[in-house]
Amino acid sequence: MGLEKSLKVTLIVSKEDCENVLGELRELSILHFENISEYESVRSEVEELEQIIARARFIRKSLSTYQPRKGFLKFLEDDRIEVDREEFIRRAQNINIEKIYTEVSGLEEEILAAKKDLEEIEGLISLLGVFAGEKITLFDILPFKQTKRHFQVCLFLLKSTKRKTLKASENIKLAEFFPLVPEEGKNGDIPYAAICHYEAVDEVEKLIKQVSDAFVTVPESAKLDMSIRDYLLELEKKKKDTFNKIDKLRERLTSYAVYLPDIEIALDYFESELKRKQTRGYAIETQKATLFSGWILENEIERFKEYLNSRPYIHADIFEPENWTDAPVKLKNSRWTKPMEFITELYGYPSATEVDPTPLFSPWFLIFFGLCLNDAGYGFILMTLGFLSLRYLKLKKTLLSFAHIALWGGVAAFISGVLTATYFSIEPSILPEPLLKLRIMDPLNDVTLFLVISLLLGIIHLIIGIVTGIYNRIKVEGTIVPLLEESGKVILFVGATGWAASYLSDYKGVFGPVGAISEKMLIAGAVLIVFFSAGLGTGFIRRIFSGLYNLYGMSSYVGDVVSYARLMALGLTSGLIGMAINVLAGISIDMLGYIAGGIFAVIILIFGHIFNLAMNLISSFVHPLRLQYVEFFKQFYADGGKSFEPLSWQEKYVKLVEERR
Amino acid sequence: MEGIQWALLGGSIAAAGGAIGSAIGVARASQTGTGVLSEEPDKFGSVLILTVLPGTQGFYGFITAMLVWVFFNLAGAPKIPVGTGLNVFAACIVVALGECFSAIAQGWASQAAIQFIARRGEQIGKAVIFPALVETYAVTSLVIGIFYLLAARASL
Repeated sequence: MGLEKSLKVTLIVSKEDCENVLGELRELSILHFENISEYESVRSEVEELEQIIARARFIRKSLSTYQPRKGFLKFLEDDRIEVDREEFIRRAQNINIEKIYTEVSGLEEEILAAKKDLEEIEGLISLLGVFAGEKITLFDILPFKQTKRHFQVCLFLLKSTKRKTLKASENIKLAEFFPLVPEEGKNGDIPYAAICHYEAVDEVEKLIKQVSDAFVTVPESAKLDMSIRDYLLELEKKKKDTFNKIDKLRERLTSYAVYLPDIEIALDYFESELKRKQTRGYAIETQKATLFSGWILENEIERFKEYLNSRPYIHADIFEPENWTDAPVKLKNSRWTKPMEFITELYGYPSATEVDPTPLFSPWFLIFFGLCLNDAGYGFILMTLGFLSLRYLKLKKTLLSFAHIALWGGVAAFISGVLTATYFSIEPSILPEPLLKLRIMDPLNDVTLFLVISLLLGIIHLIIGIVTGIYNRIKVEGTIVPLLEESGKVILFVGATGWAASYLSDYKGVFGPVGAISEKMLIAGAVLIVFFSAGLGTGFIRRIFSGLYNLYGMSSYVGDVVSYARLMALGLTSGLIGMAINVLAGISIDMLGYIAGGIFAVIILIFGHIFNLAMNLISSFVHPLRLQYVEFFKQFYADGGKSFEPLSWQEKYVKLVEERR
Repeated sequence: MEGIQWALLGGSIAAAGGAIGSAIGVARASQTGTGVLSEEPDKFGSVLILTVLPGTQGFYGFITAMLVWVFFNLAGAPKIPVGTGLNVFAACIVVALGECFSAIAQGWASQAAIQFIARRGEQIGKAVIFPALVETYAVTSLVIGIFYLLAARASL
């Protein structure tokens, strides 16, 4: 459990064997290479591969748009193409990306051009629609009478609020603006025309965009002597033709979908090739030899040695690095905490000298999640969904962790709900007696207790963080001095908690002796912080002043502890919103009777509780996450590590399987 | 004004304060979010999480109003002294202001976080923390409001 350590590797290979060796190491997937080269020796080859990948991506994006939509369950499933290595390479190398790219991009361009035509036609129809009932021609509304034009004509709807802007700016050279209908007495937008010499087109269009949301350029092909009514009919026909053209182009594009699996295979293949080529560029080269530097996980060393034995022409050294902080790490957790690794990854990898926080925060994350959701009904739904999706769906890798969190977070919310007798926020007085017997707290009437539980959990959580920080330092520094320097924090923290509990309970009952011990712990903790927290290596006077400052710094823990009050706040939120939904359902029955009201009540209950569950799921995930990242991690975790990424085949779209016999 | 009227006024202001703040905060985050989605629709999940974050304050205001309703049995036309009603009103004002302004501020933080994930989508874990920091003050207002309500109920 924790981190898998990696050791440093250097590899010397002859130049001619270099590509082959990298290919073989990619198959083994055991070496993480690092860049030690100061210049890019393989730039042109990398650029060539990047271009192929960019084209394959374009084709994939374009063809995916016209794929039929997947059902929800299919969307959740891992739908990578299963191929063996031989087929993978064969299909990737055989597909003609260049040819498909030319055809697909050509079709895309045609669709774009047709859409632009369509926009223009629709704009013309909309603007000329004002004159649809009149037997006039464009000649009649435009102030020139020649069919061969040297000017561009734009029609636009002048916004009523922008008349002054147009008046102030219409003195553009070689351009003229005029309304197509009388302006006087008109309050709304007015159809306008702009005639300008081609040299002034940009300036005119810029102005039109400021004063209008709808403008269109009258195309060269527009027949100015045709009546507007006939012209509109012609435009309608053109519009229909353009729609048909777009449909046909889309159909043609859809026919290329048969290439989609091979394009995806090619994407994984060429991305892997790019990685190999980049790795080649990481090396230092002499005239004959190439020197690689990298990292290998301890448990892969045997496999690597076996490989080296069969390749005597490779010289390799494996050794411990001088500086462990550069070593990439691989998180290694049990099957219980593995699904939570993504939370650590989201924050940042630990360095090789740190503790992997995953097993430490996993149970806390689930407890906090349960407290925030705090409803046995919601918890049951969630754990059922989590269980069913894990059992019956072949989930995508990225969704597996969420399914596990749904399952175990659901269990936590179920337990929390049972202990507070919260079942879809049903009024406790109508719950069966056995369910009420399981209740240890009524969140509405024992708000204070709920708050105290939340804060206590927070205090324990923070203490674990501080202790982990001490352990981390002892491990790195190889001495128990950090125990002396940091233990004051823990003693003070525990003492302050006990003292606060005793003070609030007026030193009664068990809190009497607790209070007395806590007071001593408070003093002992404060003394330890003042005398030792600044480090034993510093001078006495400086150490005392720094220690006093550190003692003052302990006040920041008050803010950290209060932050855990959100557990109570969110726990109450889900219950009270659920209660409001139930009340609304009850009111609908009171108002509309058992039949109509009952139907409404069922609808309100179903949609209301789905909404409440969805909203609270987000809060129940984000806030426990924040408590880990902001309050817990800062006690011991610095991140700044690198993930161990061996040179291997990319399997984003494909799943490589054993050779098929 | 009688006690019950002060209590009702307080509950209404708390609910409205949270709702107004959340509406503004969510609207701001939505503006930025939809802009990002127009370029990168794949980021819908991350953008949604950041957009709904300022919505929580609306619920905090709402639960304060609900607690007033539950604690003082407002549906049963109770006799609440004017002093207690004013205590309830004071508790609700804390919540209304705290929730309203923190939601607006969280909306700004969410906007910035959405812009951050537009460039670095893989950093959603870090991006979500900054708006969540703002919510601390919404929680403190709510907790104080609840304690004041408990004190008001005890004074009955």
